[in-house]
Amino acid sequence: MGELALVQSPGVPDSPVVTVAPGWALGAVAILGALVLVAGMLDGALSARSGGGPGVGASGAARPFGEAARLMRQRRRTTVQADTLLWRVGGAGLVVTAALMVAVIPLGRWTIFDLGVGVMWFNAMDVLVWALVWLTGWGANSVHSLVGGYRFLAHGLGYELPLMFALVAPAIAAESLNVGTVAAVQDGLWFAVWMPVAFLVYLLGVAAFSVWGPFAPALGSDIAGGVRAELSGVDGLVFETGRYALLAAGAAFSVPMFLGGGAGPLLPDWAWVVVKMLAVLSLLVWLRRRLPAFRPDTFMEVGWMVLLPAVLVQDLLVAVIAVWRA
Amino acid sequence: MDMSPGGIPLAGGGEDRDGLEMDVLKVRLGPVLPYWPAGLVLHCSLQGDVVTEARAEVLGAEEEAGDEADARARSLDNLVSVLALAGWEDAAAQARRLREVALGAGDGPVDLRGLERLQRRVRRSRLLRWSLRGLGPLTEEEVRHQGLPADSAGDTYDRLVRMVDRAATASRLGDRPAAFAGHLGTLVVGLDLAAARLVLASLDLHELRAHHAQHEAAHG
Repeated sequence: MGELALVQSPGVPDSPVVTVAPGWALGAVAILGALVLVAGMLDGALSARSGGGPGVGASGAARPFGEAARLMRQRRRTTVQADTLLWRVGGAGLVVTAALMVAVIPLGRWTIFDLGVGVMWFNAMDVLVWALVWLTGWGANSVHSLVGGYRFLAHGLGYELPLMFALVAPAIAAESLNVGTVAAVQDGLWFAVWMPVAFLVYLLGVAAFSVWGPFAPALGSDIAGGVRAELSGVDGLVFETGRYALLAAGAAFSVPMFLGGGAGPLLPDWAWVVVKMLAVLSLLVWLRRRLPAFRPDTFMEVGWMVLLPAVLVQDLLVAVIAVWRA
Repeated sequence: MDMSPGGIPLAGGGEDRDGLEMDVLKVRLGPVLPYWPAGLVLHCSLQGDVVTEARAEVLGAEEEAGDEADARARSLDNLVSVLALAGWEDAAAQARRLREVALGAGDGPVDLRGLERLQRRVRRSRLLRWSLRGLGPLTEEEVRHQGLPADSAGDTYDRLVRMVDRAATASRLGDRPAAFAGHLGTLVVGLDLAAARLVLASLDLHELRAHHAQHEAAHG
């Protein structure tokens, strides 16, 4: 451990995690990349087994590699009067955002960035996705991608507030916005167990900011791929990678927030974090094909009439329990 | 100010339904789109993703007599369209497989057990019911007036359930009567694009006619 150049984080007194040297950020990005690959292969295998959809015949798990090769060889198209700068910023931004999210997620005892307000940091990053997806849809100067952008914003209005309040629940219980502290206080009892509503709403939020599963109408085949309709070649590849990376980062963040971080028998804590990440990620990938979409024009009703009250009641319960225990 | 940057005229403004001004985009949908009735062209005005005006037209409308396998495959095609537009990939893939089987079987026996499994699955999904309930409702009066197939009354969920029930029957399906395309535009005005696509797909259109007169004659 000596060569890791451990630093006690100055901002967080008695932090349960140790900050590693900044160079380890590359390691974090590599783990994120591996998760993206696993998610892509699993999705390919599930799609092939279901035996439908585009690309039938490609042998399941190998599909992401074939797709990546195809996109890298594809000639880059552009549209008339595209707002190229904003369009590219949007498309490339997703993967950057996912990497920034991962920066505050501790891998067992180690973290890259032990931020006092790590939970807010993650939340800020997922709000950034609004702008990025919208810019990707808007920048191409094309009807279909613009419609995709509108659909994403319509979903966003429905999912964002419930997601924020879902993140509030573990923070109240831990009396801290530091991700490492939130993970450490779940001693023996995971937050997912005694705040299940917040956990479910959080997972829904992860699917939503990854434009995934029931939240995929923004990329619908009825509008030629929606937001990504005009993306081609490497741009398309970077955008898709960004979506998978967001899904992986969201799954990873659920581990310290709801699933007890590195707690578990036998295995070292970093291994437990990886196992839990993979479990949540697989669940999200598996769910993609299983559920019909939430229609963007009616999802607001679910978001504000069902999810938001449910998660607020959850927050209240958590707060009462926290006060009572104190 | 350049009114047509890059050779494309700027979108004109128009009153939105909430009274604010919003760009109007002229968009043509069809004649060939995935999950879309073949040959139908819809000349739309869009504000955001809401259809504010639509005029329907049919290209290449012809009587195409097919056999029983064709009729069933076409019904299943339309079912695939609704399920795919509803974003339910697994069920759409299941329907697509059954369609291949139906087409391969010719006049032979159909995969009734597979069709019944699909029927149960569609009927059981609460999320699907919530999503399609109340969308694009049609009274029997409207259905008659607009020259649509007689079983199009109800909302999109009713139509989908009837569609999957029809596909899962053992008896011969036969060809559905051709539908008049002229009024299809009015069905989708005021809906957003996703909802409009769902409503059109749920009508289970097999053939489209450009003229209403034929319809009147046929039904005396």
